[in-house]
Amino acid sequence: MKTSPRAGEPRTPTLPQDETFDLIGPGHSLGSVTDKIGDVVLKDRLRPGWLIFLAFSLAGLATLGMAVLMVILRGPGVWGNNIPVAWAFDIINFVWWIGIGHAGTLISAILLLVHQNWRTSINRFAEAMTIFAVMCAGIYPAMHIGRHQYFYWLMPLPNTMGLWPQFRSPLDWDFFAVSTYFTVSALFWYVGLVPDLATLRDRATSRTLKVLYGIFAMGWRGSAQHWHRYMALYVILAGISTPLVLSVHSTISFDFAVGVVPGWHTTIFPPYFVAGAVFAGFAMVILLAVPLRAVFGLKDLITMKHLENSGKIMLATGLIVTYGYAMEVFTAWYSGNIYEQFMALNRAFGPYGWSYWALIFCNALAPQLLWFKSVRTSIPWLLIISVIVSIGMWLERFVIIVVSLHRDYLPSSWGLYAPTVWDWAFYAGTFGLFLTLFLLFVRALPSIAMAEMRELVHHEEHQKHGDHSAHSSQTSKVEPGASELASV
Amino acid sequence: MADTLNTQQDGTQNINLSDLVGPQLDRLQKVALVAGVAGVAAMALGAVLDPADFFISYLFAFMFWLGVTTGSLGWLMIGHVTGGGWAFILRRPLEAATRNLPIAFAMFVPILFGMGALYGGHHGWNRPYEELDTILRHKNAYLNVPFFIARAVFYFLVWGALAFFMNKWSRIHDERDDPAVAVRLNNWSAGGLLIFVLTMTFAAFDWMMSLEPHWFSSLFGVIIIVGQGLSTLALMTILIARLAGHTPFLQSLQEANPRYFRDLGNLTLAFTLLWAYTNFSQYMIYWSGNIAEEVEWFVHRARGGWGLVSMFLIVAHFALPFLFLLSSTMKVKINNLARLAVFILFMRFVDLWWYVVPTFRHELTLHWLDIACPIGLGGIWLWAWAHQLKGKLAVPVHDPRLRDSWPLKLEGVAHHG
Repeated sequence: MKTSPRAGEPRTPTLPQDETFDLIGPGHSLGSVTDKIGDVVLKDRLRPGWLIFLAFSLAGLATLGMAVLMVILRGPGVWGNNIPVAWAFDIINFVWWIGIGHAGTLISAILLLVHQNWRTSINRFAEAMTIFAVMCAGIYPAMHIGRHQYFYWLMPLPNTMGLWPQFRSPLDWDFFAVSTYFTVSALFWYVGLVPDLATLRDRATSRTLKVLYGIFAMGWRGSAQHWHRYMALYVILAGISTPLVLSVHSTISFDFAVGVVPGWHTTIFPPYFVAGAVFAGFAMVILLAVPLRAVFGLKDLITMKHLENSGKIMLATGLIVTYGYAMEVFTAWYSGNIYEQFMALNRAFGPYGWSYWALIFCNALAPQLLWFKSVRTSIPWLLIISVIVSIGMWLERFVIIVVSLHRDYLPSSWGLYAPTVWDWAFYAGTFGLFLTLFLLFVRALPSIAMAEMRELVHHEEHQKHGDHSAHSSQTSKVEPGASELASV
Repeated sequence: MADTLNTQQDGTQNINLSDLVGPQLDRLQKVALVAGVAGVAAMALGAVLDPADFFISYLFAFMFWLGVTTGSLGWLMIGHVTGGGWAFILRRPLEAATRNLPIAFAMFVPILFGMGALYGGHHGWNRPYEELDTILRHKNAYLNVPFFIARAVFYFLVWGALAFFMNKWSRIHDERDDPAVAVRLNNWSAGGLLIFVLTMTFAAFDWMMSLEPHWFSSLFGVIIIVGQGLSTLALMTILIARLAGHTPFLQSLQEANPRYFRDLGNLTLAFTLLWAYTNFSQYMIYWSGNIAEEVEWFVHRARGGWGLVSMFLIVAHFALPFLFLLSSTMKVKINNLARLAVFILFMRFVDLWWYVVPTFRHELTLHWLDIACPIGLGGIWLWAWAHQLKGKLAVPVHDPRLRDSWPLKLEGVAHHG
C-alpha cells in the first residue's frame, strides 16, 4: 500500500496514531461498526465528560425557562429592542440558529445527491443538529410576537372576521419556510433512522428498550422490499430537502432585503445568506464532532478526512461571504445614493464600528488559514477557527440588523441599542436547549448511521479487492477523495 | 494485473484528438469559417450602414462568446479543484476554449470604437463631465474612459495569465507524471477561481451594468457568471456530442460509466436553477422595494413588448429545461442532452439580448445584426477552437484522480473514429 514519497509530492501532515485520512479507520467489518456505534447507545457507561456537559446544558435550559417566563409575564419590553432598533437579539439569534441548521441539510441531502460518501458518518448528528437548531430558532419569533396565544394566526385559517395574514410579507413566508423546513428535516432524519432503530431493537437486552425501539422501527425486517422502498423514499426526501437549503435562508434574507432600509435592500442578500448559513453550520458541525468523537472514541469513524473536508467547505463558503461584503461596500459607493454610502461608512466608523471590523476579522480573515492543509488537519486550529466563525456569523447578523436600523434616514430618528440581561439570558438559554437535546440524542439514538456505515464498509472492502493491482503498482498514491469517485 | 494497467495507459496515451475526431474537426472548421466570414462581412456592412445598432448587437454577441471563453476558464479551474467524471470529459474542450482568450480580446477591441454609442448617449456615463448629473459625476471616478480601458486590459491580462498557466501545467503534466504539477494545478485553480470571480464581476459591471449607469445591483456579477457557466456547459455538451457522440470511444465510455455524463446533465440542471434563483432574487428585491432608480431597469424590460420576452425567459430559460433535466434518460445519453443544450444555448442568447438591448430600444425589435453578430463572432470562435483541439491528447492520463477511476479498457478503441 505505501510508496516511498517522491520529490514534490504534497506533504501529508503527520497525524497522531489514532487519526486517519481514510473514510473509516482500518480493520472495520460490518459487525464492528455496528458494535461500535450501537454500544454507545446500548452498553456505554455514564461517562463523566457527557455528564459534565449535560449539567451545564441543563443549567442553560433552566435559564431559557426563566427567560421565556419573563417574556410571557412581562412582555417583550424586557428586551432591549425599541424604535428605531425594533429588531435585535430575537431576529439575530433566530437567523443565527436557522443558519446553523443548513449544514445538516446540505450534508444529508445535497452531498447524498452528488454522491459524496464522506458524508456518511457525519450526516446523522448533523441532521439532529439541524432539527435542534430550528427548534431553538423557532422560539424567538414565537416569543417576539407578544401575544403568544395567537401565534397560529400566522397560518391562513378561515375565520369569521375575514382576517388573513399579509401574504406579501416575507415574515409570513418565513412561517411557511421554517415550518416546512422543520417538517421535512424531521421526516428525513426519522426515515434514515428506521433501519438503525430496528438494529437497536434487535440488540437491546431490556424488554422496555426492545418495545420502545420496536415501536419506532415500525416493523422493519430488512427485507429486500423494505430496502428498495426505503432507498427510493430516502432519495425523494433528499430531493425535497435540497431546494430547502436554498429557499429557507433566501426567504429569511428577504425579511430584510425587500424592505428599503439601507444595508438591507441589496440584491446579493439571498445567495450570500445561504453561503453564510452553510459557513456557520459547518463551524458548528466541527464544534460538535470533535467532542463527540473524543468522548465516545469514534475517531476511526468520524475521521480526519471528515474534519478536513468540513474545513474546506468552511473556506469556500467563507470566501463567498467575503465576496458578499465586498459587493455590499462597492455597490454602496457605486449607487451614488447618500443613504447607502452613509450606511457603509457608519458600519465601519459609526458607534458600532467595532462589530464590523470584528466581523471582517472573523469571517473574512481568520478562515484564510484554512488554505493550509496543516491547519485543516489540526484539531485545535479547527476548533479555534470554528469558534471564530460562529462568533463572526453572529456579528454579521448584528451588523446587518442593529447597525442598519439604528441610523437609517432621518438623523432625528436615530438611536442606540443595548441588549438587556434578558436578551443574553434568552440567548444562553437556547444554547442550553440545543446542547441538552444533543446530549440526550447521542445516548438515545445512534449518532452515526449504522446501516450506511455498513454499506460504506462493504464498498471499501469491495474496492480494495477490485483495485488491488492499482494499489500495488507505482500509481498507488492517490489524492484522498479520488477513491469514492470510482465506487459510486 | 500491473501489466494490463500499463498497456491500458499506453492505449490511453495514444488517443489523439486528431485521430479520434479529426475529420469532424475539419468539417466544423469549414462550416465555422464560412459562417465567420459571412457573418463578419455582414457585420462590417452593418457597422457602416447602422453603426449605433451595430454596437448594441455586437456587445451582446461579444458577451456571449467572451462568456464561453471565460466560462471555460472557470469550469476548468473548478474541475481541477473538485475532480469528477465530467471534468475528464470536458478537460480538453475547455482548455482549447481558454486558448481562445486572445481572440476574445481581439473581439473586445471594436467595443472601444463604440464607447460613444454604448456608454454615451442621453443617459450614458461617457459624456463631458459638465453634462453629467450629480450621481454620474460621483461615479465618474470609476466610470471614465481611461480607467475603463485600463480595467479591461487588466481583466484580460489576469484571465490570460490564468489560462496560460492552466494550459502550460496541463501540458507538462501530460508529458511527465509529476505529482507536484497536479498539486500546483489544484492549488492555483482554487486561488484562480477567486481572482476570476472578482475580475469577471467587475467586467460585468463595466461592460453591461454600466449601460444604464444609474442602475446598480450587487448580484449582477453573479448573474452574469452563472449565465456564463450555463452557456459553457451547453456549448461544450453540443460540441462533444456532435464531434464525438458516435465514436466508439465515447460510446464505450458512456456505457462503462454513465455517471460521467449524468454529471454533465446535473450540472446543467444546477446552473439552470441558479440562473432562475439569482434572477428571481434580483427581481423580487427590487420589485418589493419599488424605488424609482432601481426599478427603471426592469421598466425597460417590461414595457414596449419586452415583457413578452421576460415571460418567455421564465418559461423557456427556466421551466422547460428544468422539467426535461429532471428525467434521468435525458441526462445519461449525451446525444439526448445535446438536443436540449441547443435549446438552452439559444435561450442564453435571448437572455443576454434581453440584458443588453432593451436599454437602447424601448420597443421590442429584432435587428438583423442581432443575428449576424453572434454568427460572425461564433464562426471565428469555433474555427479557432477546433484548431486548438487538433493534435491534443484526449485523456489527461496522469491526472491522479483519473488514474483511480477511469472506467474503460482502451485496447482497440483508439484506432476507430
